[in-house]
Amino acid sequence: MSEAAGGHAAGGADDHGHEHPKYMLIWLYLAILTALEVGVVYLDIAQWLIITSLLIMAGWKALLVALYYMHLKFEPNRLRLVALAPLPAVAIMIIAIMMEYV
Amino acid sequence: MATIVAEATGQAILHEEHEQSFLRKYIFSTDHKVIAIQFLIYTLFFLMIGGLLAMLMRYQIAWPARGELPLGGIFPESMVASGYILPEFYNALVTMHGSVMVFLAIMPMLVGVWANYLIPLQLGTHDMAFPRLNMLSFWAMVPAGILTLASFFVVGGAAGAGWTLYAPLSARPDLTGVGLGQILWLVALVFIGLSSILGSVNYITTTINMRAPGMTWMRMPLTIWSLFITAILALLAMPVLSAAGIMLIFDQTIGTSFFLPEGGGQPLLWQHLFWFFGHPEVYILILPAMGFTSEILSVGSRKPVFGYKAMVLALVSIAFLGFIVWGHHMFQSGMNPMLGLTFTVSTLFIAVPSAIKTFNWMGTMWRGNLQLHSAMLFAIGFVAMFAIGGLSGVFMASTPVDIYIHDTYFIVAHIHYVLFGGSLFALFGAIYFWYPKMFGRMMNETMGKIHFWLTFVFFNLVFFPMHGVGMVGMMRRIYDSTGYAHLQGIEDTNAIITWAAFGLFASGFLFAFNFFWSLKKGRKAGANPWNATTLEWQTPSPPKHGNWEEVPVVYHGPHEYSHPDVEDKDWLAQNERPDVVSPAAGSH
Repeated sequence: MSEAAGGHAAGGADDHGHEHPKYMLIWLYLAILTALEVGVVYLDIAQWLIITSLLIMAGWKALLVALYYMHLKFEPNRLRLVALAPLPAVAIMIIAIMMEYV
Repeated sequence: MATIVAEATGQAILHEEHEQSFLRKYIFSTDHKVIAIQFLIYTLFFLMIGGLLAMLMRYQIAWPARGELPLGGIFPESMVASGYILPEFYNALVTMHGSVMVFLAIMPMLVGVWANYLIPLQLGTHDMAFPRLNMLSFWAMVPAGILTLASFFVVGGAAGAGWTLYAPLSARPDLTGVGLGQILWLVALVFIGLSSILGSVNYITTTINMRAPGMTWMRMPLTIWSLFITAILALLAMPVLSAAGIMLIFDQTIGTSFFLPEGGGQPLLWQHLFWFFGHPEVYILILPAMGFTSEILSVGSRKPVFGYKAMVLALVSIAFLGFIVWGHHMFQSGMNPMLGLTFTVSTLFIAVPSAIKTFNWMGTMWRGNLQLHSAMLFAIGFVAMFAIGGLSGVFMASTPVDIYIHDTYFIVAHIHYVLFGGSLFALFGAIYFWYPKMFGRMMNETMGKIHFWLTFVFFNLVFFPMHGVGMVGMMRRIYDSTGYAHLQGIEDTNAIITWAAFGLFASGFLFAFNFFWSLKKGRKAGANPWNATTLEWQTPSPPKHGNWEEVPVVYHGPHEYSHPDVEDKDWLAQNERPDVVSPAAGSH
């Protein structure tokens, strides 16, 4: 029974008319970015530069996960909005924590 | 479209039901009802474990110098030595009592059991949107439970840094003497996070996409509203805890120092991350209870819920405010005063929707035809206890008051009024109420009522005096309070609390006996023993796999009791066709 039930749900997801993203390739992409992140720390450059590049790479990775693993690249805008909805909460958290240190 | 898919899926489920093996039907089941019952057994077991830890703790608090722990010989020497509970074991008791109760008992019982059981049934669909994810969400809890139990028996014992896991206490094994136990609990926590996130995705998708025809948002029972909002909270809050927990594991194991000052880390960062999860968690633990209570009060009063829309809006606003108040757990941390003020004000705001709900519950009961069965008694008990717990919450929202009572038994009293008097009372009510639907038999009413009164009396005897010992200044995790000058004279109160706690624990066994006895001996329940209106009562008890032969069509709101246009009975099922009942009844 569950095969039928599950099969249906999975079938529904496949009906979007796009090819599966190359999940393994994205995984490799993420792994390389992680290696770069680790590597940057050992470079003999200014700390602000290290931090900035780490933040950029972390953001890049998050974007890759959101677009491919969360499928947002292939979804309508209203669904992308749903994924963006919690961002104000993130902003509130970061601002409040930063207030502790300024 | 969603309905057509659901219909086809349901037909497939019904058709193939007879072909299932025992393993697929009862162990690795994808049926939401079986998964709910698995969660129920799991959480009742951990409720007992959590209670047992509390009893050991209470023994130590009441008689710190006596030793002579009954059955103390069954514990290893590292926990209890010649009848004395060792301080390290006591740390593990307080930590794991809180952790087990919050993460392995109450939260999965509120959400894992009832979201699973009720969402498809009350929304009129055949199953969850992702049945296999649903199965995984239960099975992710199994390693979590095993790791938790195992952590008591590793070198150094179970986690001992408090359920809030404050760093650096939780990050450096040398401070508590606990190494592996702490890591095991953190890994368990990551599994719990996984389970919760998988479950939440499922509940949200099912609620949005799979409602029966006619089941508009404003016709959803308040239980579903509360579980839906809770799922959103869990989805947004649990990843923060999981991420913070993994950072803490790294601090413990691979030499990072996110939270360790000596390596440039910030202990306060842990507190912020923990409470950014922790306060929404408080609402994860109470919102479903509010939903059950609304429903049970309405059925037991034979009246519609007073102010349905206000109830929904109050749920939504509590959830929203829940994300901007976490700092009120940290007034003692020396935070920026401007920030403290912000958190005070936002916290006080929460009193408004909470009060709306409380008054609406009273409005629901007001002049109703009250039917005081066990479920109803627990629901009324919830309202009363939640009012006390809510009001003491207002005390500590205010920074100057909180600084005085911070980390005392006043806080312990508050959390238990909300979590035991609130969540657990509502859970007992929910079990008495939906048990006939789950198992096809009624729980014994006499035992149920005795259970309620014992619980109610012992609960208040345990937790009300804690406000007092807290105001005197008794610290919340103290091993032996007798050595402090300011704590002289509270020994008798502590002993009374402990005796009452034993009574409270014992009354739980009456419930357990009733639960298992009624499985075989309980009176057979029809499809709708409470004459209730929501969809789950319009299908046989227990419902078959797939729930419905045919997806029901919804014509009415969820709580149509004592409808003036219905003459022969005092309720109107959500799926009763208006032209069958009377022309006016469907105009809602």
